[in-house]
Amino acid sequence: MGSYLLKRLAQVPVVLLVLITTTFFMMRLAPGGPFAGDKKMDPVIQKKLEEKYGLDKPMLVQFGKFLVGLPDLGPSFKNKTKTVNEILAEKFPTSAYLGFLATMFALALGLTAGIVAGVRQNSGFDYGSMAAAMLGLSLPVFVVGPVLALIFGLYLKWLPSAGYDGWSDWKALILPTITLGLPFAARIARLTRAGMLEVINQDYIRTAWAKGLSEKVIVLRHALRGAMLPVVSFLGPGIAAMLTGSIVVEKVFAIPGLGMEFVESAFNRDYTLAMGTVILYGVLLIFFNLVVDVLYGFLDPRIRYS
Amino acid sequence: MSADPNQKGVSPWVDAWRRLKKNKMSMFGLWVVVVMSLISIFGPILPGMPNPNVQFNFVGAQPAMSRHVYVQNKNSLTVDQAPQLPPGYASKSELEFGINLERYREYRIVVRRRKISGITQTLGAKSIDVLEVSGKGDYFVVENEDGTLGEPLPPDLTFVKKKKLAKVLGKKRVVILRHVFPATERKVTATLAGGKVTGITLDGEVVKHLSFDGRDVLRATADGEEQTLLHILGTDSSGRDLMSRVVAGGRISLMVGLVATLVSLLIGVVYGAVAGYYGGKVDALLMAIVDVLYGIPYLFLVILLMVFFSRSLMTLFIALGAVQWLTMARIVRGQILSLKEKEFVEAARMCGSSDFKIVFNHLIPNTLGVVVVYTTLTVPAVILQESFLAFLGLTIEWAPGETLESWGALVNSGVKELGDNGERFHLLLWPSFAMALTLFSLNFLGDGLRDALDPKQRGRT
Repeated sequence: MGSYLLKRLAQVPVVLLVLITTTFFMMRLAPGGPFAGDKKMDPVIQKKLEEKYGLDKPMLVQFGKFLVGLPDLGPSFKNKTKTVNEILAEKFPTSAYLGFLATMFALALGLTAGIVAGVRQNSGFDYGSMAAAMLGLSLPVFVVGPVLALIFGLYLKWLPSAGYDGWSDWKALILPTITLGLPFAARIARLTRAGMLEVINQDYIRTAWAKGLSEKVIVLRHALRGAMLPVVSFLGPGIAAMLTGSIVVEKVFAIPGLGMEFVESAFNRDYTLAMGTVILYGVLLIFFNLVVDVLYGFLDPRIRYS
Repeated sequence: MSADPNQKGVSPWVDAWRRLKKNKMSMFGLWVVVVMSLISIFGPILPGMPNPNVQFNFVGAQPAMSRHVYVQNKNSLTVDQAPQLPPGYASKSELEFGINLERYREYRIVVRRRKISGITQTLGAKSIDVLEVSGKGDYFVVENEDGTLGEPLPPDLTFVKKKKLAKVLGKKRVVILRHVFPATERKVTATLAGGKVTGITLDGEVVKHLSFDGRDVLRATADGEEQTLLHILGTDSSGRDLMSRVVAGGRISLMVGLVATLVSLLIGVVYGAVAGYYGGKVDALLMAIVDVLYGIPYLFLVILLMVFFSRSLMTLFIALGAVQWLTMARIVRGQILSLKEKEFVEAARMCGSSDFKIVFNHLIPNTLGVVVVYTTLTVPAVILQESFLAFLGLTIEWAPGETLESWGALVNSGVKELGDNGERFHLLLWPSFAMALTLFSLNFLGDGLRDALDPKQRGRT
């Protein structure tokens, strides 16, 4: 186990390097640049700007400089007053907080619905919850969000429909959490149910029944462990995406998060900021995939790490 | 299962179909998908389906089942010429309109040294000496420079030539006054022969030419029949028929979903098959590439591709397909890895088949079940992703400035035009409904197919 982990950790820098290289050159090869706006810029000014940010140097030199500079990601091309690290430090906590809440909500809802549906296969609850889950997967987030805001924010006036002013403003995060969490919950519920169905007919469960254990113990202690495998492997990339923010939810509820920055950086060709967000996502993805692999060993004792 | 010599062999596909038929939700999904596809293909050419791009800007956003008078934004009748009316009128012989021809009359007033030096009625440039306003019903409005109506004037004000106007007009040199009437209907009749206008009357008087705005037409009859246009799902803010727009949007959404999936299918299956078949270092390298591409957020990739190439339909297909093929490659590779150890591959090799032939004639056809299932589930995923791109404003352009409106784009504009209290909810409701129903059905169909094609299930009732 220990040596497996070490081996995996040793791979991390390599994977990151490949990811950084691919993204760097992909973005640079795309036409346009951070200073190619709608307005025609004075060529002298443009040249000065490019000199200032080092864009006039050969691409390989730029790439080398960028790599050497890590983890300092350099200045943002569009936001003149802030460095990329500052922007990430400012926006990431908000997105991560919202993503964390949404993940918790999705896990609670998805696991419960999935377990009950799997144990009571072909029951009314099974059909109902799976149809609901399918609907959750079929409705775009940008429909669910505004409709929720319309109902709970404007008609019932229970919750604010948009805006967010920091950690203590928990009321403003309820609707975004639900909006972001629902499709995630739908996926978890479906995976949990499928996992349950797979496990529930296996011999070790029959053994547990034969031992006279209660249904609660069998389902929660024995079956759930095996049933969680597909859910866990989905959660790795899933949580990484949740934490880095969703542009749609952030736009609909006016939450200043990372998702918006990310999409805008891609549109604006803000090279450094885009690199920063991709690297952040990559690191999170690798980390959570590693956690998934480790969790696999705990959940399924048959898996041996070599 | 005991072998019955008389029992006919059943192909796995027939078997799967039999199992699929028992799954009610999947069959429902299948029917919806078939109907939606038929509507998308043939809907736009059905009679009675209005053109999705025709704007009746006098109509505005109307709820479902609303009707309005069937005329254009600008209409005109001229003797001896074809009438400028919507198609359908030309074949009729007697037309009758109730038109509110003048809802206001405008006067141009020139002021010199704070005294009125001239009043002209703008229609027909008629000069007027005295203008009087009665207090009841009639009122005058000063028109602002941009053409909007300003403050109503006090109703007891009287304009008489050369009388001092300092209080009301200030330092303005030229003032446009608008006399707004309560609506009065005027009767217009026209006779047609051979597609040309032969006679026009206005309140019984014979005239040669008449043109009128769509907004002023109160009613229209042709050969005694009331001419109205029914909008089953209502209209959008520009007065375009929502149902035909939903149908046209479905065409684009389904096409994008299907073609992008085919692109991903093509890349993914070949890539996965090669990786799985050759194994070893080739496999490791090819799959490492897939892993790295997985690490790049898909949205980023798509945005880059959309900016890299033009924002055309083709780019969208490639961009979405390029993102989706990764999973397809992984799935096919997994299948091929286990299939290539089977005896039939051994047999094929014994017969001297080339690697190419083994992969394409023997291995890939055997992965078809999984591929079909995954394809069915990819189509809705692609449609959903396209809608996110529409949300971000990355709509595709048909011609410069002319966007193609998929369901995603319609839903997105529905969200934007919802209004502060959701008064234009139908603009969001119907496109979302069509989209959600289709995605829902495709997902259920894919699920059912997976159950039906899953070999583990085979042989069970």
